Amino acid sequence: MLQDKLPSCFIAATAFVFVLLLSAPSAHGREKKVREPVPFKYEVRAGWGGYPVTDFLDSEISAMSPYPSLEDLYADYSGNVYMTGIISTEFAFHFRKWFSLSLGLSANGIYSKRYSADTGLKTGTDRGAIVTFMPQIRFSYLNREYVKLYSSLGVGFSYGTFQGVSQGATGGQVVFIGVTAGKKVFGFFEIGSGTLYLGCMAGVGYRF
Amino acid sequence: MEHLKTVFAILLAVQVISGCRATDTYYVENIDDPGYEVFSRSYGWQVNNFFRCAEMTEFFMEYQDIREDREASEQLADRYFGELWDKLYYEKVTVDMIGTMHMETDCTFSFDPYEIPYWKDGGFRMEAAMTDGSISIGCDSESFTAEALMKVEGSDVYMDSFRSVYREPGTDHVMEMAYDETSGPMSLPVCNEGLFTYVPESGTMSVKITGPEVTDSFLIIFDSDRTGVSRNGAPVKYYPSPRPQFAGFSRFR
Amino acid sequence: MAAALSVFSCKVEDGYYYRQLDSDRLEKYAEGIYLSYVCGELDMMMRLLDIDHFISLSPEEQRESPLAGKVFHEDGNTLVVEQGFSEARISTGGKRLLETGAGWTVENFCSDMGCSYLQSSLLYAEVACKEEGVWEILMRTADSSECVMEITVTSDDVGRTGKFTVSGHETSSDGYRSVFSNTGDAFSYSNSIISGSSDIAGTLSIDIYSGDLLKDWCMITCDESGRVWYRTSR
Repeated sequence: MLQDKLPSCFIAATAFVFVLLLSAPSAHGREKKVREPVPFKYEVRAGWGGYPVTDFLDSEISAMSPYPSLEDLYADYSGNVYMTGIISTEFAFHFRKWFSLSLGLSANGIYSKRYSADTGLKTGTDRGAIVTFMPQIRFSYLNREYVKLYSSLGVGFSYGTFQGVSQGATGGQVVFIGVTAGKKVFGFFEIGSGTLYLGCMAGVGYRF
Repeated sequence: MEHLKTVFAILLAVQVISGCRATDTYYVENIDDPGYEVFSRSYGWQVNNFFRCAEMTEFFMEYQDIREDREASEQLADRYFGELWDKLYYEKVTVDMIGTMHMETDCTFSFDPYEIPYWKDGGFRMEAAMTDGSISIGCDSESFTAEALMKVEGSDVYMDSFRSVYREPGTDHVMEMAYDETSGPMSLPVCNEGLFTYVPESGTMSVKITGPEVTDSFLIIFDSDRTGVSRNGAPVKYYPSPRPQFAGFSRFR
Repeated sequence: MAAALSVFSCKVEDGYYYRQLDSDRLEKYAEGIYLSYVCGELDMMMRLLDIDHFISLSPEEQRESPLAGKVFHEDGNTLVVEQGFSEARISTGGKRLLETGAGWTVENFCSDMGCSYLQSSLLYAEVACKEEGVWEILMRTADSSECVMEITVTSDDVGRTGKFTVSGHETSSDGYRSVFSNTGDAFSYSNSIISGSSDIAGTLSIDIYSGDLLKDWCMITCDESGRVWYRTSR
């Protein structure tokens, strides 16, 4: 069916360009308002946090039948599954005092013991990991020399493998509140929820 | 940079406004004749199902003669229905998007059509019987009764007679239809390898719709891929022919 | 390192400790074997006798039967049975099942009780009438399991009664083999025409081998009143 309406993608593309232009910093000094220079342009961080909200790796699929098959009777089974907690590294660009973009690469280790159904003895350990790439935009609303308070929002992609299952998934992270203490070298602590971690993360960083 | 921003802002505004006011256009002209619209929407269960039932009956009778030979039976089904036939047994045959035919006795069958009328009630029944090459089809239910005499000759299905009365449930509207035998033959090609013809290529039907605030009487003239409406000797006005109201319409010519 | 990790790691999922092989697990396995091979084959035999009776009826009688609209002829030797979401196929060889010397082949049969853990699409059975009132059923699944049942059937107005013996085996892909059969006397059963279900009495014994080594065994005993009890090696 023909439609006289302008394709909505044209409208979306125009709007996107418009918003980009609005947010890009002006190259020429024609603005009336003079902006304060950003004290540090870049930042690196490393931290350790909890485990994610959801585990998209569905490794051990529960049996469809209420009765075990002959193979099920003697097959090894998995014990409790543990995660190491997210170990995260980030590189951030400070655009404004209150606004920065961080690119993070993190890993969460997974492991569990395997047992023999026949003897009950441990037969081995399954190991795996989930690696996530997550850009986040960070808004800091309290900017003192040595203390900053911030929140952030990110959308990213994770890829994990464990017990024979490999899978990728998109995810997101919200940091409700975070605090950094220190000027050049700093420690940080944040509370958030998402596919990176649910709970808190702490670590150290360096600004330059 | 500032100029660019202004330009894009204006562009955006213009697109949004003109986008809101554009209207969709459909590839068929608007049907401004309510009588024809009613006919067109009910065509599927009022007329089409009878042609489909006649084809199924013709096939099913032919199949019964060779049913012990499975290979020949399947070839026959392929010839009529292409890949659309699903179940083929002594007792029943199912063709996707057409319907299922059950054997009642040696030459009487019941037909469960795919194109179900929205008013279909528990008492709905469509039956066909073949006698000396002539197929008589009757449809019975609380709201709708119809009778037709059809035959398959050569590669065409002919409607020799047809009468129907539909009483709309919950209202006092009545729609009566009849094939005008004096107008010439009403036929369409028999289905071939799964390709069906939805509307006859010729023939005239009289339609009468009555109700508390309506009395409409007109002739429907089938003419290949367009259908004409004639009232009281006025010039015939042509509209696109009725089409199936479901996704399988690509199987229909 | 491992100790440090275990202090800081969090458990995200419970382990499947219920899969440890113990008497409960063996009882569940025995129940599965009993339902699939013993009850499944008996139920299939009763249904085949129903179908055999159905095709002998006149069209008017067939319309009144519970099997009306479920059994169809594909050709003179092939029946198709509609079973909800699947179809069973029966090759009759042109003979009624009651005829001595008849051999029916059945594929994809699914009983009314629901298909047990043997996937119905893998099921293949041969039913042969050895003499009047006596049949031998060979049931096979694609993954090399087999069960032979020899059954006697006496019919009356209320239903069918008789005795049967079973003997079969199944093999898993990792080399375990389970061998099962009735212990001592044959099973006895009575099948009701009204409900379609059967009461069975007897004991099925199952031995599980790894190579030549007997790993485990279990026995399941049922009596006429429907009580079931088990004995297992663990």
